[in-house]
Amino acid sequence: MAKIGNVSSVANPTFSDRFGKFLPIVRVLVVVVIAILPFIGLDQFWTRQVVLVALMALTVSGLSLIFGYAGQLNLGQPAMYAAGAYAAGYFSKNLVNDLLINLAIGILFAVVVGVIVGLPGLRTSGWSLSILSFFLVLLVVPVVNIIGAPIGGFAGLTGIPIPAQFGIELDNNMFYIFVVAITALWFFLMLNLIKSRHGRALLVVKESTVLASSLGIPPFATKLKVYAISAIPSGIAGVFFAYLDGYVAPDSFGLNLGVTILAALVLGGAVSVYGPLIGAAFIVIVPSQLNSFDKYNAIVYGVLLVASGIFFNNGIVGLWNWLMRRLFKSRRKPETDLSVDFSEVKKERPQLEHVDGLRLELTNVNKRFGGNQALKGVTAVAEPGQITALIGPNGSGKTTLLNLISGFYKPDEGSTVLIGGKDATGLPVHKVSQLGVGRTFQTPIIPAGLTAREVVAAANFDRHRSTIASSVLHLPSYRRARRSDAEVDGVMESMGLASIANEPASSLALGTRRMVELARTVAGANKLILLDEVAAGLDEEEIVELGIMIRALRDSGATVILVEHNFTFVQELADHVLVLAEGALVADGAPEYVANHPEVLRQYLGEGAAVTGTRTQKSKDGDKK
Amino acid sequence: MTTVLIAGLATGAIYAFIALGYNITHLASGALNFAHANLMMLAVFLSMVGLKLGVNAIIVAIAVAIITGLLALIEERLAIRLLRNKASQSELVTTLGVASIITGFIVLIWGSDPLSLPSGSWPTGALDLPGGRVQISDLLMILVILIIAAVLILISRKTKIGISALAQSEDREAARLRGVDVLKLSMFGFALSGVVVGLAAIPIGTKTLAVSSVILTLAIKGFVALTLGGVGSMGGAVVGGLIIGLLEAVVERYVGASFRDIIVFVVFLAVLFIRPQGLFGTVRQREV
Repeated sequence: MAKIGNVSSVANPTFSDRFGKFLPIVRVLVVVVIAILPFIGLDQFWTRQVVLVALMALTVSGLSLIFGYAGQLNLGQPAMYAAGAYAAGYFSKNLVNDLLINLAIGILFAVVVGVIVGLPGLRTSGWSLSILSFFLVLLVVPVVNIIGAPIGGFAGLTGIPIPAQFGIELDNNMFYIFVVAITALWFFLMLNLIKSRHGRALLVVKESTVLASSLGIPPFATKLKVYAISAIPSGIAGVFFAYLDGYVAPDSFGLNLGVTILAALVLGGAVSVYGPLIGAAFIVIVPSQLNSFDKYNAIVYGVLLVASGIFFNNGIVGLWNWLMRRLFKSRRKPETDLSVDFSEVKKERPQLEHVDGLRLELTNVNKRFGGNQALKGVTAVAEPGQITALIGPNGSGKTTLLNLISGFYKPDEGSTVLIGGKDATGLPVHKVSQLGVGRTFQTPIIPAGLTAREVVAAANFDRHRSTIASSVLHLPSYRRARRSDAEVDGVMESMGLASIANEPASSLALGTRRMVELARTVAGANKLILLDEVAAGLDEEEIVELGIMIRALRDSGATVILVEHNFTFVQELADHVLVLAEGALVADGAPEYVANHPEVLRQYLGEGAAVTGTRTQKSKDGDKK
Repeated sequence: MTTVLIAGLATGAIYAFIALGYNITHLASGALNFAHANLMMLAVFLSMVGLKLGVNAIIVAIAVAIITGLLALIEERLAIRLLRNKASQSELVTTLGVASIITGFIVLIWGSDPLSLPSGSWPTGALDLPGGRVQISDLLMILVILIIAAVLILISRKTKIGISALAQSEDREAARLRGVDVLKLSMFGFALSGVVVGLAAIPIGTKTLAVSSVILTLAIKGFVALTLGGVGSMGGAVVGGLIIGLLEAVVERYVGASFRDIIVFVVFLAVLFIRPQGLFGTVRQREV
């Protein structure tokens, strides 16, 4: 286990920390240079290649959003591409030949197709979605054929006019500028989306819908939105495709295109905005420079897909990031099992922002799983500004009760759960979370692919709401949410986690992961906090730090519920103890009262036993009520 | 009518056969093998080569079964075992990659035009039944696939390895703790799925011909059959495949050929919405 001391608030500056401030200017410059290329001597062939790269990059970016970020392998991009192309082709030929209007129409059709794949996919696992999306691509030819004459049937749609804008025909170079500008615009918006809380929400949903909903991120709605959004670039690409040659044939949108798009994505890097651009450039330009590549492309793309699973993590972008880490962080290799040495962390209790704790009232809570009555008529109250411990032997229903409060289980008929006076009985998890309920899990759920800071910041999802639109366009509510992300650093600093803020969270040791999870709960400014065996697996120093933080949470006014096995730890911390045995509440009172309760001694600790527990250090700041 | 029904059942039997293959690898390793239909078509091509060389059909079937069994083992190694990131459906990407590689080689070596197996390698001819004329090869193929399904059902229910596979598919970790060697199991599953396609390649190839363009359709409809029957259920795969095949044949005959894929898509959507666990599948309890 590698111990790092507490060096400074931002250790290990990344590449983007150093050069990040120049990036927006560089990006705009690059786009401008590409846009004027035909005017400074780029020939017809290469102008067309750039357009083809742009079209490919657009469709690949759609797959990046849905697969790279949201973890749904939706291979239906060719169908959405076809929807955009046919819509633009038909409308420009028969109704109105205006590039921007047809872009809007193409996007609309593509989004409808995207949502058709998404809706049933929400109900099932990844396989069904992938096959369903594949199937949709297979249907392009029969559907085009059934619609028949208006869109050309098997023979293809011909006679699409030269694009025009506001009635002015666009020549090749003007069309080129349109393609470059709109592609660039899409990528800027996508970048904003990814960097916002919505981008983080996608990564959380990808890793764990359980965690997502417990942070107030509605998994279904989030997935459905990303299905719709990921269809937009494919629709745009389709519209450009229709105008490019003035001809659309149904066999341009086969499953081979789906495999090519996927190959470009894994080559460039799936979890990245630049990955689709780089991958698309490779997959369009390299084959055009090689004779008879067509014969081998299925094999080459297949090898790329297999290799992506075995060798490279996040394609060319992943390789670049790895290189940058090596160059800028030097010496220290990425380690696994990183942990923080809490003996070096200062032991003063942080002052947390005051919250109005939510009183939890359980009345006659029952839960039956098949023949097993897991909870029997539990009636109890947890007060704000107090630590309520929930103890009991294994299988006594502690975790069931927590899951029931947070909405993972529905209680049986006749049970009532009131949170802050509101009826929360049977509410879905993300709704419960949105009341201000935060929790940790027995096994910490830490999404891979996020840094520790991002994991903690995920708690901010529903604290400072900003819609997808305002995040993408950087409107004021987005900036407010942005500021609250800065508070995350404050929380991590006060918990001694600043030194690991930029490390991949999945590389952390168990004890540190628990602290990161706790930090996430703290950063969420929750009003009711459910802690599920947070002390399990921690060393002594970590337990001391944990105790300090739990007290700080209580002093902030929150209602804290602590499920714990370690009775000594409970005695030190808790203001109020609830004891469960075989699903029923057997004792309810102050720690001293419970420790001497005959029923507790019999049920929980065994006949004739005295109350003991794993020895932990007495709290160092001497704070014991 | 009989003609349409038997032709539909024959197509359905192929879907069922693909679905059985998906089930084998799913039960044994928890992975969906996208490349299964591709491996089956490769077996058809290899059988064609063997038969054209004049080798006895039984020897061809055994030799091809050994080759495809070994290829499936290699696939298991590359596309499943070596995966860096076990989460987020990586095996869908890698097995799709294997599928693309197999198709690529088939087209490179044999081209994309349909080729038929040499005549005389499998009984052909027609039989007049009440209601219409049916192909003997279709009837025999349905029989072969039903026999294979019966054997697989027996393996999954009665043998130790089959029961281990069921345990693995329920809870991989628990199965491992009870002493199931999940790595060996996964290898066995893939090898078995390869051997099975090799053995049935001649009757199937007689029906489908050796052609690369039908692979994806078979792969997708096999999956619809699997979903309809219920993932993990061998009997369900057979019933699901036959239903899809019949439905397609009836719609093609009485509505129009353009609608045969669309009706299967509609059935797929309906199953996902109304009964995602399929006809014979079981619902899983939510895990927190």
